[in-house]
Amino acid sequence: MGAQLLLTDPVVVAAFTAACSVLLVFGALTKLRDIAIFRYAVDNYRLLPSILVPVFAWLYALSELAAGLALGFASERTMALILAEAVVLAASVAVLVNLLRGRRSIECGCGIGGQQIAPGLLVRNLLLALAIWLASRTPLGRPLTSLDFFSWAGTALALLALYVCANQLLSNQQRLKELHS
Amino acid sequence: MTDPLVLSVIVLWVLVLALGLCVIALSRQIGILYERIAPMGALMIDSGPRVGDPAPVVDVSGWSGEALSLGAPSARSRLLFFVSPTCPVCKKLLPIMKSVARREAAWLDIVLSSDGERPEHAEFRQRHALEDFSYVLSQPLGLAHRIAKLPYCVLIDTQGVVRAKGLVNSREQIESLFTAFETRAASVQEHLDHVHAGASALSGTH
Repeated sequence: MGAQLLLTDPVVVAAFTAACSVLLVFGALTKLRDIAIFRYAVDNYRLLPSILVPVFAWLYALSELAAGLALGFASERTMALILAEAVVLAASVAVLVNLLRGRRSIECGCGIGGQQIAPGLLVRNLLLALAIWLASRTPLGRPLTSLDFFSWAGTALALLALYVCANQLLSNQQRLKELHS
Repeated sequence: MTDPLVLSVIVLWVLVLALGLCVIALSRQIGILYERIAPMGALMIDSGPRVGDPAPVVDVSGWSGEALSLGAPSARSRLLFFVSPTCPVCKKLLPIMKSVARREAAWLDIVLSSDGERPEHAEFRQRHALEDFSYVLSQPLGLAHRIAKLPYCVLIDTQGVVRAKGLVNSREQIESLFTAFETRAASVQEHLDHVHAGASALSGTH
């Protein structure tokens, strides 16, 4: 009951919403900034016929952008939740299939320079999916105080910092493996 | 009078965020450290044969089995373009490389270099219509030039001397390689530094 109250507290929901929204929008803009690179990254996964790759690349990046904006600004969260989770799920399935195929040297295309796919990426995506689910919950109605705004901003920024750290450590892990090999 | 609890929460949030920034910076620095101590050298302009030095001579077989002595004096200059079938930026640069090959056909041969399994490269070569390029699969070539990041270019003149080299991510950087070759700058980076320094001097800024 206590955890339920905590997870639907307006400060927690708003912080997760802000962080997930920023992550999705930033991820989409990185892909859209150089869509050719992202197209080739999608191609590397070898899951789609060549003719569909450019269409999928655009569709994926625009869906990610729409999910981020909807999560941040739309009053109706259900569609935003479905779209955002679909984006994360599609990426995770692509990574999982290629890990199972043993093709670990391909770049993930996450917009982070040169990061290769790894099991850690699936864990990161699982946590991201969980964060999106938390962000889409209906918050409890309670009066907010000025301190709540500090908590909201602090939590959102701390979540973003955690995400950046996770990506950096995943990238470091790949370099460390190269060093050992 | 500020409530001590409120003050405490604010101070703690500031500290949490400051520590978060420190952790990001530290993990980034660890990443850079791993890059620098990598066995094949790091992403540094001065790793591998230096500009102005003779290129290491590496005997390789071309795609059809023809013998190539890369780095030895030859009738035409050579641009070694280190690529990988799984590198999205490399793929993006292939059409640019094709136009460069046509434009500089009078004096330059472009050699695509990679390593790994031949079937994967055969598909890559066919998919991107790279039949007009010399294509070599040679790990020793990459090791000799200490290639740590892709896509990477090394421009070798007819005397077998490295004339320009660098990591390339765009058409501008490939063009800079030729400009560095023509202006005898030590590297693409040095050429770019000179260009920026010149622009700063012209605008009076420091």
